[in-house]
Amino acid sequence: MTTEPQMRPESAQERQTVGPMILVIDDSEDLLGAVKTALRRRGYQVVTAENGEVALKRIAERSPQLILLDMRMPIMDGWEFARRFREKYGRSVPIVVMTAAEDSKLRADEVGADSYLGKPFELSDLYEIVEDTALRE
Amino acid sequence: MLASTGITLALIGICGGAFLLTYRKIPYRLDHIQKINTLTLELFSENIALFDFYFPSSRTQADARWDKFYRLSGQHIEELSQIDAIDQTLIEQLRRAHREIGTLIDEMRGIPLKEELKTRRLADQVMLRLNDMVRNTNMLIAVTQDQLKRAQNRADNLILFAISGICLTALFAASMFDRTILRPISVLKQGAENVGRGILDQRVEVRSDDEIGQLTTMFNQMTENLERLTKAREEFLSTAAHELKTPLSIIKTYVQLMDEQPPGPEKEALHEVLRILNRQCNRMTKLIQDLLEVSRVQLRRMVLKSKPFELHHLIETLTREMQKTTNRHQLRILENVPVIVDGDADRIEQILVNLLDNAIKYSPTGGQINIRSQRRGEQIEVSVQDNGIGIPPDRQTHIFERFYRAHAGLPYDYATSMGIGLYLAHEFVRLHGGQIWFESQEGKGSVFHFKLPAKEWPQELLPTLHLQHSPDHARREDHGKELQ
Repeated sequence: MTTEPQMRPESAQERQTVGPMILVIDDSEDLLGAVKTALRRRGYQVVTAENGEVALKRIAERSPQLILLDMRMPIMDGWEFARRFREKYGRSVPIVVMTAAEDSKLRADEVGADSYLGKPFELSDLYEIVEDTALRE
Repeated sequence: MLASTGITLALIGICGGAFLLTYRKIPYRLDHIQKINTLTLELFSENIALFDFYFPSSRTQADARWDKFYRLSGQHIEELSQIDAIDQTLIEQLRRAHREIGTLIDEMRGIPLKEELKTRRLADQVMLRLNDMVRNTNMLIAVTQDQLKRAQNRADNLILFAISGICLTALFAASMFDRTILRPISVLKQGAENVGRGILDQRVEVRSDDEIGQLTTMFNQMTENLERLTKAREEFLSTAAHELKTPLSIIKTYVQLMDEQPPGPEKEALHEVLRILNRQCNRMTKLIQDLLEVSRVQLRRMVLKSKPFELHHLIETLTREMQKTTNRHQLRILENVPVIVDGDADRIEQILVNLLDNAIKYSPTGGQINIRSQRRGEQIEVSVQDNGIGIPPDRQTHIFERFYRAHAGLPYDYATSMGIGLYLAHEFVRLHGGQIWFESQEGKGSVFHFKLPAKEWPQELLPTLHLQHSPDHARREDHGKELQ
């Protein structure tokens, strides 16, 4: 991803690719870049997708252990993605809804997500929630 | 339905009127018959009158007397025959007797005085006719009295019938009035009340196509329009809030990423700037949320998501979080009674955040901020006290009004609010059925209090409440959290 801002050279720890795989779905490339950088720094592998359709393709190629899902997206939105994903894969992979909508908990309940993160969020909350859900397996 | 009531009442009136017209003739008729009867009886009882004809001296007087009888009884008989519904054979007999008396009397007048025998024979015949007339009129009187009696009975029945008819019609009319006017109006009133309370998805059932039905249809159209407009406005607002928050979240995430650098001289220089950037991001987020809330309160679309929760936990968590935003102030909980409040925890948290935010903002030199939560009977009173700049007396009356800024002249950092915080606090307290008030002295500080209903829960009910001991809003709401 060329859009990822290079704050500083990545350390050896950041480049390691043995951590759990996380799929981040958001229509903003800028946000994807930021979340990717943050999560990689914490040792996670990150796959990104700009909408639900791309995300479903990515899942077929790689098998993520956690999905961070934005709701409002073009082509295929979060609701549709969650529905299709659950249809195909069941509840094997936890989904965390990540939305700027007012009531993120309500959105999470709508799609049967495991957790939620209201935008804008604190990085510490992102780490906490990812750690909690990804390691729960 | 009102027309049929009118028709029924009119029919009853016509029946009554027609009856009264016939009924009124009966005493009139009786009057005539009685007069004939009296006239006849008078002559009959003093048959001596006939012998007046024997004497020349009294003959003129007798003439006059018989003339009068003949004329008067004739008149009465004629009038009697004019009146319908009477036995015409009786009248005919009466008339014949009367006519014969006239002939006989004429005959008697023609007889010379001396012929006593012939006069007596004629007089006997007159007496016979008079007797006939008396019998006849007596019968007529009996018949008429009987009719009168029957008419009275019928009148009694008719009155009874009319009264019950009128009562039934009135009852019918009242029920019709109730069903076609009062009830629909009351339903419409209920609908209007609901619209006033912000319930817009209801429609009033149209039951008729009269004016009330048309009014109901119009009311429904109005409600529908209002609902569409309100929905559109709400949709716009939440979309706007979403769109505003999206770039903010990107900025905020990068700001935090930059601040994650390992310590060093470069970090030292940046840290303070990034802290400010992050704080302003949070402030902007809160402003967007507040704006959304204000619009919702104004549109009366605010719905409380009430369930019992432990207020003392919320106060503790929140005080801890808010303390992190400032190092010039000491936030101290002086009293915090354990209490379960049945309310919308998010909104009550917003009330507290807004009060604490103000306390911090308006005591710029720092100092102590005291928080108390005390039981007051069936209510809980929470107060936030600061020793800041206070509120000028002339600005105190409008403090809870929307977009009113008590310190309008202050620089941005001082008074970042748009005059929303206290307005929202006031509205949220009001929605919970509580009160909010304050005391303030310029230069010395302010105390804000709010009271919420908080009945005491029986100990054995507590496990059924499913209280959240660690409220999830602590993580979700990120106000106050700063880069450490």
